[in-house]
Amino acid sequence: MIMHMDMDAFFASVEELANPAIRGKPLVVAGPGERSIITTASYPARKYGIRTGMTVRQAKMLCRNVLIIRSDYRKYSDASQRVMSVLESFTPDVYAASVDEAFLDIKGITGFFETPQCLGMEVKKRVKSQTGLTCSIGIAENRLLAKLASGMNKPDGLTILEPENVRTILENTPVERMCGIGPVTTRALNAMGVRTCGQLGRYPVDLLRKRFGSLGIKLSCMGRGEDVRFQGGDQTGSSPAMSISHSVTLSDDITDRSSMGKVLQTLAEMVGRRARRHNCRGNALTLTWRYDDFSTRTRRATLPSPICLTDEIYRVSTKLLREIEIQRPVRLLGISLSDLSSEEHTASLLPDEIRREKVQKSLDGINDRFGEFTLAYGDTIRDLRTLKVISPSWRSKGIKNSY
Amino acid sequence: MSSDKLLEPVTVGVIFEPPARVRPAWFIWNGRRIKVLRTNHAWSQREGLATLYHFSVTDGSDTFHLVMHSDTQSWHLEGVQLPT
Repeated sequence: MIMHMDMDAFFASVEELANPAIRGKPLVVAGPGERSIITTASYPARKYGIRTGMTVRQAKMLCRNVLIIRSDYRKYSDASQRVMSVLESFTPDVYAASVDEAFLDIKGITGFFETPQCLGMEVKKRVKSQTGLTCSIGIAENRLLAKLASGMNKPDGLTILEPENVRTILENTPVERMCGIGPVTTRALNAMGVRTCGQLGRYPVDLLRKRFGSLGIKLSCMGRGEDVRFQGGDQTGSSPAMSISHSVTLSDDITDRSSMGKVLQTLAEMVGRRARRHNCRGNALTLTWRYDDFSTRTRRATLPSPICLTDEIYRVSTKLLREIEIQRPVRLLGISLSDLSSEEHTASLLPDEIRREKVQKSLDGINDRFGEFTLAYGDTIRDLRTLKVISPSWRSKGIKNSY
Repeated sequence: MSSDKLLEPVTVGVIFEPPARVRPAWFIWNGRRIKVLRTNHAWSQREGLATLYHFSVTDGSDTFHLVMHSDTQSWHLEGVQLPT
C-alpha cells in the first residue's frame, strides 16, 4: 500500500509562515522580474485563475493586487527537509518525488494503526505540528492511484482509494487528472472521444498503440489504474538515479551565443557538483533551450566516455550550442546529464585526466568548506544571483530518478 | 506590502533557551532599538561548513529577516517588509 503526501501550495505556505501578515491574501512565489515564472500560487490567488507556470505579468493581469514574493530556496529546502524527517519517523521507505511531495511504502506500518485513515491523520497531524504546514494525503494500492487520491481533496485533505472503489472512481475521472497525462496527450485522447479514465481503460489497446506508440499500452493500463511505470521496482520509486538537471529562466531574452555560454558555464558547475557529490558520471548530455514564444527544443549528445567534471560538461554543452540554429530569442537554458553510471566503475587511468580530476577535487573542497561558488569561473560570477531560484522538481535529498 | 532587500550588520540581543536554542529579543537598526514581539519562523541554511540561522521576526507591525552566521557569530538584517 502506498501513501502520497503533497504539501499544499508549499512555497506560498512557507512564506506565510515567515510573514503571517500576508496569510490569506492572493500571493504568488516567483523568481525576480516580470518575466519570471510562478512556482506557486496561494489558494486565494488561484481563485483569480492564477496558476503555476504563468508569468508574473500574466498574474498581475488576472489580479491587480496579487502579492509577488521572490522565491527564497533556503526557506523551502529547510522546510522540505523538516517535512521529510517527519515522514521518515514513520517509515524508512520514503521517496521524495520533489521538494513538496513524497511517496511512502506503508505496507509495513499500517498494522500499527487502527486503519489507514488513522495513519494518514497521524502523518498530517505530525507534519502540521512540527512544521506549521498542511499537506494532502492519498492512500491507494499503487503510486499512480495514491497520487490521484492526494489531489482529490486539496487543501488539507485525506483520501483513501479502496481497491473495490477504484473502477467506479476512474469511470468519471477526466484523463488529465492522471499523473503522466499532459495537455498534448489529453487533447489527442479527447479528439479520439476519450475523456475519462474509464473510457481510456476500455479503449482498444491496438488503436492506442497505433496513435501513441509504446505509450499507448501504458495509457491503457493507466486508464484501469494500473501503475506500469514502476513494475518490477521498488514501489516507492527509489530506483537508481537517471538524470541530473538544472535550468534557468534568464532575466532577459538573449540571442548571442557568448551570453548563452556564460550561463552554460554556471549550469555546468551546478550539474557537475551534484554528479560528483553523488559519485556518478553521465553518458549522455542534453541541452535544453526555450524560445521567447515558449516553444522548447532539446539536443542530446551521447558521449564516448562518461563525464562529471565541470569543464567537460561545459565543453559538451557549448559544442551542442554551436551545432544548433538559434531561431528566436532564448528565455531559458538547461543542461541535463543522463544515463548515469557509478564513478568507481569508470575511474580514469590517463595522467592528464587524473590531474584535471585532482584540480576539480580541490575546487570542490574549497566550495564545500566555504559555500557554493566561493571559487567559480570568472564568467559565471554575475549570473549567480539570477540562478538562485529553486525548481519545483528540486528534492531535499539525492537526484532525480526515473519518476 | 513593500519589501526592501538589505544586508546590514546589526547588534542583536539574544535569549538562549534550553535545549540549545537562540531567540532574538531585540536589535538595533538605524539607531533605533526594535523589540522583537514574536519570531514567526526560523530556518537554517548550510554555507560550506558554516550554518546560517534565519529568523523572521516582527515588532508587531513590520516583519524583519535576521540572519546569524555560525562561524563569525555575527548578525545581519537581510530584509524588512513594511505594510503599505
